Amino acid sequence: MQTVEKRIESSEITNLGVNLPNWMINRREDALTRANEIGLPSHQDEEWRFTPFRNLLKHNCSQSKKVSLNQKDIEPFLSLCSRDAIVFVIINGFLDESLSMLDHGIEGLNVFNLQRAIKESEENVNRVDSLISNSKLPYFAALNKAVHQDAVLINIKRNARINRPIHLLNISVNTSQEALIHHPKVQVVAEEGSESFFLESFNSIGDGISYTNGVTEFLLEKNSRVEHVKLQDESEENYHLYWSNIHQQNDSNYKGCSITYGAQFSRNDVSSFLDGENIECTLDGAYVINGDQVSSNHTRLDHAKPNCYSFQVYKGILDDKSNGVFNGKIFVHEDAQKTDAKQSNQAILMSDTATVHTKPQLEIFADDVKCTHGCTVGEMNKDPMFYLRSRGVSEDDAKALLVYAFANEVIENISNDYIKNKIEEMLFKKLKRK
Amino acid sequence: MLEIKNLHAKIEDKPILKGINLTVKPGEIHAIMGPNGSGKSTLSQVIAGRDSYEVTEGDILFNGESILEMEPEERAWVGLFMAFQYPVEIPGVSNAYFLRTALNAKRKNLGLPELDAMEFMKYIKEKMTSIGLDPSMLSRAVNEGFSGGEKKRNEIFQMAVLEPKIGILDETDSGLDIDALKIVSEGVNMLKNSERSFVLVTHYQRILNYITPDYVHVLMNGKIVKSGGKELALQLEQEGYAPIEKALMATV
Repeated sequence: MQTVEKRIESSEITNLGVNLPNWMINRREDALTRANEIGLPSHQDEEWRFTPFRNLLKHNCSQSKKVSLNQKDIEPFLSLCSRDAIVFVIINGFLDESLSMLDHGIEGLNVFNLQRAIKESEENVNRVDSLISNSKLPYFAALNKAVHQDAVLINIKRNARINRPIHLLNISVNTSQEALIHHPKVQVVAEEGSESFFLESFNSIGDGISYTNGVTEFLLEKNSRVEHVKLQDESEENYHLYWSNIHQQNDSNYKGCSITYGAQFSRNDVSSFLDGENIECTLDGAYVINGDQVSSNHTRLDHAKPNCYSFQVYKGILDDKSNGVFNGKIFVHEDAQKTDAKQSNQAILMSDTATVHTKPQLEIFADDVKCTHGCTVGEMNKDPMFYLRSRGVSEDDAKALLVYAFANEVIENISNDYIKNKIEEMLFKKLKRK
Repeated sequence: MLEIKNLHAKIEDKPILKGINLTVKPGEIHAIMGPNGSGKSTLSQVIAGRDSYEVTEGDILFNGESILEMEPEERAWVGLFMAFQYPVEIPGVSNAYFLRTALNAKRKNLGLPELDAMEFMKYIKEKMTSIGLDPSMLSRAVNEGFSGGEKKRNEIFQMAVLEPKIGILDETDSGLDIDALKIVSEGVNMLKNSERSFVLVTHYQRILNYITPDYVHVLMNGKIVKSGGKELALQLEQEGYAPIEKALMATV
């Protein structure tokens, strides 16, 4: 079998230096079987249509080892989040205990690595893990589930309001000649009535080629609220795969925002299952790419019960020879009357050689629903450009200002002002790199 | 200050300006009048540097130097300002941010220190009071949802902030009711001084009831066919463009 990971040792599945319960070993073995069944992306695969994945398959990787960094190494990444952040540093998929605030002392917030989670919260691990069966996983998510070496389990206790942002700071480190893959995994259980905010950032250190193959899962119990900002700014040598699955119960509110600046190749699959009534789910995103970057973004919303709302705004800004994909699926199940689902996808092509493919995909089995979707792809409008320049704004600044305004519809919804400003600042930098 | 010499310009393959000559000295107000399709707007756009027009012959000098090779922003830095006939809406960019970027770009180019947010607000509040604008518009997006009159007033406000050497008003009076027209005119009269010049491009005479031009030129078929003092505007108002057209035909 051909895999991105050179060869999977059975020890990667069963022997992590941690005593894994049997159910977990079985599930990991089963996930590997699933991965082998599906195999790597191919042109026959509808899910990979339009995504240029050739480079993705160019390298044979080994799994990254646990490495340690010091405080100075992570300093630049700490500034992504406000100073009041509760920081958990995940290096090559391993939770670094010395750099993380495990003794945060905040009531209602429990954070474990895999070993401690099994010891102290096995039931929650099992619960989140069982939300979706292995048979529904795509290749890379299945691979993660089979071979991830560590995980971060977060439990927000009942009615806890965590008013400081939780920063999940992922760093991929590779200073070697060999391509490495690592499989970060995060599981969040937001208990009934709880409120929390997550910044999940992905950065990298070193010139070596890294594959990040992340899985992040959320279970939102009744009446809980989660805001989740994902920020990917890895080196442009890197490959970034990310699969996020959200499961929502009655009256819960999940607000997600996925920002992509980095990696030569990124693929994000985000899905939410709205398994109750009066649920709100927002899946926003912006990808800003140039050079030869590829960013492929896929969302899936399942409206399973009546009276739920979903909102999606995805914005793409593509320059040079970059290539973008947006595929938004909305399934309105038979019971889901009075569903209100809105989806919009827009992209600006800043050069003649950039391309984008967008595909809304609505499947509606209920009759009393409101679903809207729209997509536009365009070039930078000439009139506003000339207007700004005629007032003395330079061409580069005018471009940056207009593109910023375009992306801002997504970014301005982030409730944490510090993070919002940081992401805007990075946007300016990315746009003015020339 | 502004010297237009034998200016020819075309859009795609269609010649629009066919040899325009015009000299504007510091402190002068010139009105350029003409029927629809005479090339009035093209003239404003070419002066401001719109790249959809191609200059095929002639030159535009500003303070003795040709501006034809300059980018639109460079023209703004040396002191040109065009008030748009149709000001553009820019959702997502606030007036305050836009104006500060524009002002600082110009200041930087003139070797002046850039204004920080506080200094800028102080500077701009004074300007707002003088134009009679509500400060709440600063946080609104540029021209978004503005009425026709508000947009034109915003153009004059931008001019007050950027303090150009010459203001070109491209049919600023079109589509304005009489109150808006008065406000715009008052703004221009306030900004007018012995150094600053204006070129009013207009179809109608009525704005000239509020702003007194030193010269009036009639533009037809891409050329200035007649020039005179402010009385020429009144004559046009009474007789229309037909007699001039007729006289022209007779000379051919």
